[in-house]
Amino acid sequence: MMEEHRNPFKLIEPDVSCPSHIKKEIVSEIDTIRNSLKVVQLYAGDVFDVLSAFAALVPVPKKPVN
Amino acid sequence: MVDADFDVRQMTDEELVRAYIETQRNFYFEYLYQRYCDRVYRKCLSFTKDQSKAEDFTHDIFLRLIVRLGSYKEEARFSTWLFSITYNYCTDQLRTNRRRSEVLIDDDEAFLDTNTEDDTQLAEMEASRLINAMSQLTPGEQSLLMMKYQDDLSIRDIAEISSLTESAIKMRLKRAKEKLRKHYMEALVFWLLLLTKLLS
Repeated sequence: MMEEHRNPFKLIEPDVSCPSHIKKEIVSEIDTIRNSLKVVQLYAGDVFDVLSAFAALVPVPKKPVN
Repeated sequence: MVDADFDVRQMTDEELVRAYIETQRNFYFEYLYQRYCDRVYRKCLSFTKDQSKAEDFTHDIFLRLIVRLGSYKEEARFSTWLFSITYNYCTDQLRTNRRRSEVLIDDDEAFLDTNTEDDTQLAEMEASRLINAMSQLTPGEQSLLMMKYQDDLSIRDIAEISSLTESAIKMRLKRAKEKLRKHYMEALVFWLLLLTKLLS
């Protein structure tokens, strides 16, 4: 391993901090994705219930007895 | 169930990941983010040389991390896994469409030993010329050198990040160093000749 004080690769690494607005954007997007998934789950649940109710109303044809 | 009052500063990265997955509380992710955002951003800036692009890359890398967090099996350290996502994302974004020439892997193990004499020569390089020489390399070659000499990752870690064997990494590292040295010396000779011309 190169010695720290003689390592030019360490010197060329930018000495900057990550802008703070990126964190807010990411957290906001995570919340949006999570909330959207919850909405989809809720509605998917309701749609499934309606479909099940309709399916229960449709009479099942009886098999002919030979 | 993770006790939310537990001092989060004492939690390891892996514990923070588990806590986040279990509770879905942004608090744990935000703490993990704080630990690594500067390093990821600096890597992105090293590749892109553009603040705005570096911000976009950083944003996308952390979103990718969140999406894949459920699949993190703790087989590697969290930092290695994050480096993997970072370097692979940056090199994918910057890779040109040029055809990659086949690199024959030399089976001679002795030839592949990481050479400390090479490292001594690299250590003598001047920083600003090193930046120029690095910019002549492909994103993949830059990644290898940064992982080895900036992040001090082991060959094993680099192999894991790159999904290659250790001998393949040693060979690619050797070639990247040779290419870097060549570009560095060409620039040095150019400036020396120019200086000689101006002084004569």
